[in-house]
Amino acid sequence: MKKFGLVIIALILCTSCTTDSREIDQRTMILGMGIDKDQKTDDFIITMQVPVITPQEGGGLSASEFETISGKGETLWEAISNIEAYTPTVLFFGHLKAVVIGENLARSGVYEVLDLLDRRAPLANQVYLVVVRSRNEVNDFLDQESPLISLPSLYLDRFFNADQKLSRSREVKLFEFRRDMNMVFNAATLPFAYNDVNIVIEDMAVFHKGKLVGELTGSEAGKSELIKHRILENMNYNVAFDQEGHEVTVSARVGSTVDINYEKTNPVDLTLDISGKAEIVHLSEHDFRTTKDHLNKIQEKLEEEIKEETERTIQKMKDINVEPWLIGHEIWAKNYEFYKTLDWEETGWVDSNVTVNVEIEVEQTGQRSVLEKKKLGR
Amino acid sequence: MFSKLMKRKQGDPINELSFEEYLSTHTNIHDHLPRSTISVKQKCNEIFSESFDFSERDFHLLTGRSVYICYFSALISQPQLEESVIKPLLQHVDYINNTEHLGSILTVTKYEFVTDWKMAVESILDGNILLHVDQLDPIIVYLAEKQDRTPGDPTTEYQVYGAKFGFIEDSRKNVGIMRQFIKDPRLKSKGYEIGVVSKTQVAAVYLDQYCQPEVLDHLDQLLNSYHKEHLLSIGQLTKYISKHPNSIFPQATMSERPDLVALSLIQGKVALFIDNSTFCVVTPVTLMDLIETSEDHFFLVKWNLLFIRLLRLASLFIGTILPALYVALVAFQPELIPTTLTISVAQSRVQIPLPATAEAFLMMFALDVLIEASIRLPSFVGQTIGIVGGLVIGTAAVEAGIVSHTMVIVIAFTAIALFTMPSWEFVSSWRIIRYLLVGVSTLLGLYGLTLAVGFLLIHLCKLDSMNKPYMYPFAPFDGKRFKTFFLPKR
Repeated sequence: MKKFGLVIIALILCTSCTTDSREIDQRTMILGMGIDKDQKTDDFIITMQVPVITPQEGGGLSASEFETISGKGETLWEAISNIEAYTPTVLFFGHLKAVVIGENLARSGVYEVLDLLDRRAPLANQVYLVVVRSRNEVNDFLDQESPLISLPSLYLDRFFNADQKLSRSREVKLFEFRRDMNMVFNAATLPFAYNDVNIVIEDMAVFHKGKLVGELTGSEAGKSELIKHRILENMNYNVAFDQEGHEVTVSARVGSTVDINYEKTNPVDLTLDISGKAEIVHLSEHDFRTTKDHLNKIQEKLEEEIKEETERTIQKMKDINVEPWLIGHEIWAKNYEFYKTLDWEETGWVDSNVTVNVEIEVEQTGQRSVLEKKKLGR
Repeated sequence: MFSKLMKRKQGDPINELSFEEYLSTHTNIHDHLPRSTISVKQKCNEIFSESFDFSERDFHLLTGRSVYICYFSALISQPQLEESVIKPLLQHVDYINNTEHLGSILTVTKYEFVTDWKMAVESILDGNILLHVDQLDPIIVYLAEKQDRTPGDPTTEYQVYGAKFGFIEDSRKNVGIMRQFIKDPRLKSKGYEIGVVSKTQVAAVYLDQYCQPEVLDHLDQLLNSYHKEHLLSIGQLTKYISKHPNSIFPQATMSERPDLVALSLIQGKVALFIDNSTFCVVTPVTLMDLIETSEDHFFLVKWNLLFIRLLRLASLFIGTILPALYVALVAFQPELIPTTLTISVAQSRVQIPLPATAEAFLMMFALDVLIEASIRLPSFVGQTIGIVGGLVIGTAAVEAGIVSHTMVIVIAFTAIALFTMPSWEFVSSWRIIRYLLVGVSTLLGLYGLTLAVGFLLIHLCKLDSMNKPYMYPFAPFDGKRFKTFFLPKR
C-alpha cells in the first residue's frame, strides 16, 4: 500500500507538465497570419484570419465565414497582444497553416519574424511561408475571398499539398526556410503570392541574410528548384522550328534531374549535367510525322532552351551574389579544406565557371493514330 | 505491490452447514441400516419430514415379507420403477430369500448395497430409490431421471456457420455432447461434488496429453478445497478458480457452444461443466482467446480469418479508447485534429452547454442503460427500447442541443465496435475501462490517456490465468504462435 501511495504521489508530481483543459469552443482558431510593416510609422501590422464558428446544418464552411483581425504594435508581440484584446477567447495557433509576409517587411529583414515564430511553442514547424507582393496589402490578401476555397489560408494549404505541377513556384515550410537560412550562404527562397481577382501563387523570392534581395520569375523559379532539389517534374516548354517550309510549334512536358559535379580548381569549375525525359503534349501541325529525325530536332530545341534558361538563372543569382541552391554548402560539408580556399560568399560563387550540359530524350510522342486518314472504300 | 492488492482473501470453511450434522441429530450416520423395514421407514420419515415430494411405498409379498421403497417422486422414472423393480419382485416372490438374489430379479442396470445412513440419504437425494425387503440388506437402485431437455440453439452466442446446438443443464449429458465432438479415449472427465449444501456436480473435461498437468493439478486442488455452502452459478465457480479475482479482466470464459469448447479442449484447455447451467467454464484463457470464436475456422479462405481477427483487435482499441481520445483531443490537444475536422467539431459543439467530458459520460451512461434495459426485457420489447432509445439519444438529444453530432458518432461507433467481441463478459470489462479512460483524459488529456493505457498494459502483462500469461503470445512474445493466431496452418 505504501508503494502504491508513492507511485500515486510520483504520478501527481509528473502531471504538472500537462496544460489546462480548454475546449475547442474556448479557443480562437487562427488559420492564417499576416505580418507586415507600416512604411510610415515602422510599426508591425499583424493580421489574423479566424474562421467564424456558427452552428450549421451538415457542417462545412461558406465563403463569408471568416474574419480578419488586424493589430498594430511596435513589436510583433505587442501587435499580437493587441489582437488578443479584440477576441472573446484565447488565440490558438495550433492550426496555423500559413504565415504571409509582406514584401516591404521581407525587404527590410525577416529575422525578427523568424525569432517570434521560433519561440512560440504551439506554432508548428509545418506552416507555409509566403511573401505577398507589394501591390497587395497583407490584410487585403488575407481578407480576399476565393471562389474556389472558403479560406485563403486553406487555399494556400491545399495549393501546396496538392503538389501543383506548374513548376513556377514551390512550397517552403517554416523549418525548411530556417534550415536554408542557416546554411553557409544564408540564402533561401520563398514563394510569392498576390491577389488578382483570384489568389495567384507564382515566382520565388530570394532571401540573403534574412532580407529579400531578388526574385526568380516564371521558368527561372522552375530552374532554381531543379538545381536546388536536383529534380524537377513536369516543366512545360514550347519550342518552334521549321518543318518542310511550315513553322511547327511543339508543346512538351519535361521531367528532369541534375547531377552537379565540381573540379577542385580556383575558381571552381561546376558542371551541371541535366538529363530528362520529355513527353509531347501538343503539335501545331496534324501532318507532322514523328520520325526519328523530327524527334531529334525537338530534342535539340528542348536542350537548347533548357540550357539557355538554366544559364540565365545562374547568371541572375551571380549578379546579386546569392547562391540559394546549397552547392557551396555541399562543398563545405564534403571538402572543407577546399571550401576555405574559395572564399565562396565573397568571390567564390561569382567567379565560378559553370558548364551546363543537357540531354533530353523524347520518351512519349503521345501519338495514337494518324489523324487525317484516307477514306476507305466508297 | 499489485500482487498484494489482488490477493484473494480466503474465506473460512462453513462446516456447520453440512447436512451430516443435521443427520446425526436423527441417527448415527455411520450406522448400518436396520434389517427391519419398519425401523427404516420410521427413520426415513424422520429425516425427510415435511417434504411433500418424498414418496414411499410399502407392500407385502405373497410370502408375507414386507417391502419398503422410498424416493423423491420428481427425480426418478416412475414407469421404470414399476417395470424394473416392483413387477419383478412380485413375479419372483419365491426367489427372494437373500440380498444376492435381488440382483438376478431386478431388471436395472445398477444397484448397490447400502453401507450406512449417509450413503442412503445421499443416494435418495441424488434421485435414486431405496429398496428394502424385510430382513434383507437394503439396496439403492439407480433409477434417477433428472429433469432435462433436448439440446437447443445457443441463445447468447449467435453464429452464422457454427453448429446450432447448445449445452443443457445436465453436466453428464454435456460431457456426453463433448464426446460426440471428440471421439478419443484421451478425453477425460473428472467429477466433483461441490458445495456443502448444494452438492453440485462439476465435471472437469480435458484432453489428456494436450492439457498441461500443472493446470489440472492446480484446478484439482482448487476444486477439492471449495468449502462454501453452495455452488449454484457458473460465475461463482469462475470467481473461485480465478487467481486474480479483483482484476477487471475475466480469467476464464463461458460458453454454451460445444464446438467452441471442443476447439478449446484441443488447444489444451480444461472445460468445467456444472449442473443446472447451460454454460461451461473454459480455462486457462488469454486475451487472444477472448477475441476468437470457433466460427472463425469455418471460413473457407484463410485471409477472411486474418481480416476478421485484425478487425476485432482494431475494434477492441477503438471501442475502449475512442471516447477518451476524443475528450483528450477536444479539450487538451485540438492541434492534433485535422483543421477541417476541427472546424466541424467546433461548429457542432458551439451551442452545447456541456463540456466534452460531461457529454461523453452522459452518452456512455445512456447507452449502457439502454443495453441493460434491452437485455432484461423480452425480445419484442427490447427491440422497441432499442429504437426509442436510439431516436432519443441520436436525434432528439442533438436537436435539443444537449450533445453534439460528433459525440453521437463517437459513442455509437464505440458501442458497435466493442460488440464485435465474441465474449460478452469481456465486452463488459472493457466497457468499465472506457469510463476510467475518459475520466483520466478529462483530468490529464493525452498524457493521462497514455499513462492509463500504459498501466492497463502493465496489468495485462502481469495477469495470468492458471499460471498461463494472459497476454500470450504478445508477452512473452511467441512469433510462431502469433503467426498461427492470425494465419492458422492448413
